Amino acid sequence: MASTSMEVNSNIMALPSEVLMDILSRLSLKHVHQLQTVSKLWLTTISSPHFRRLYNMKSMTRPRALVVKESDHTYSRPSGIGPLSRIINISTMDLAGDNKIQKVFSFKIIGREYSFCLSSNLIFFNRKVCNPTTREVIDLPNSSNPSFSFDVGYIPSTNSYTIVHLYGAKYGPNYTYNYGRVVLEIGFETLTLTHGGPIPSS
Amino acid sequence: MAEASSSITEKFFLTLKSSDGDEFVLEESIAIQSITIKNMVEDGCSSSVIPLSKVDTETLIKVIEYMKMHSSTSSNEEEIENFDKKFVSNSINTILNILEAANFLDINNLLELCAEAVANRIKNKTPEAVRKIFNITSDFTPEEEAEIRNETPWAFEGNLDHSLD
Repeated sequence: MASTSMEVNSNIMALPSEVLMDILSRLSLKHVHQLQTVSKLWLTTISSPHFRRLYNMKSMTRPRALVVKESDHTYSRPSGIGPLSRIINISTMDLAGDNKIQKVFSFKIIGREYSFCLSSNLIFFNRKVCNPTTREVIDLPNSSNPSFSFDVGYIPSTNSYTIVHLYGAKYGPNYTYNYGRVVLEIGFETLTLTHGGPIPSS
Repeated sequence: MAEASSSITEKFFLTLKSSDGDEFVLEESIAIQSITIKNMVEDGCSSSVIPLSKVDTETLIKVIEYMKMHSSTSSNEEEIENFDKKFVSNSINTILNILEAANFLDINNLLELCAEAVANRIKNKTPEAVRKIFNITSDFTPEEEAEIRNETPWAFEGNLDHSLD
């Protein structure tokens, strides 16, 4: 083989990038973000799609609790059916790590009708989807039809999520927006999130 | 009659040669915890000395120590656990050398052990402390560094561990 430079003193920079990624993938997301400022090599490593994939894959198997809190309800009238708006706070707790609760984000939901669900590590709310591991929030395509449900499957080989969105497509004559609707047809669409939703970096 | 003799369990030995030229004789059953060595044995490339040009003597001694302890024939679980604990208390540079060797030799358990050890060493440390631990010089300008911080301000809230140990 060609002469390899004879630096015997070990150096983290001498490690193959897979090994560095393996080490970094064991740290918390917040910490990994901070370590982007260590050097250009670390920034490149941490912001690479390959690392994101590895990190997301590992986080799928890491025991974690999602903590959801609803607060600040507003009502229009005393007999209203459900609040007019509310604040949803999402936190995560890494059960394999330090058991600390980390607040991810909060959002306000306006209107009585809202869809909110947790599935396969993703949070769905008001036509948005959030990956609490990567903290990415993506808007789902808008449609005028009311949603029934979202379901998600995670595909490890491509590190992508496939989302199936069920919605009411056609209604009977006595259709009213929220209540008493008669659904004649149900439509569905599938959406794909690649890279498990990127770690916001660049 | 060839068949008859092969049924007797016979110990095979391999010779591993470090980058410093030192040779170590090791039972084949122990050495093949390294997938790299196992593949060489299966390909029939192990009749003579196996040169490990990327592993120096000091590191190879540690790796062999590890493989002997973790081979199926020896030691109980408690012994292995204590051995591993002591093993990862080596200096960070030694661990990094072993990590590099474990990657090259493809010894998954050892790689896992050392990667976890390095991660524990830098857990919750500031970027400055991590640079010191690994002897890395930052190649960012203060402006570039500030820019990275501004991209994800949430990541830089709260306190981190500034100590080096």
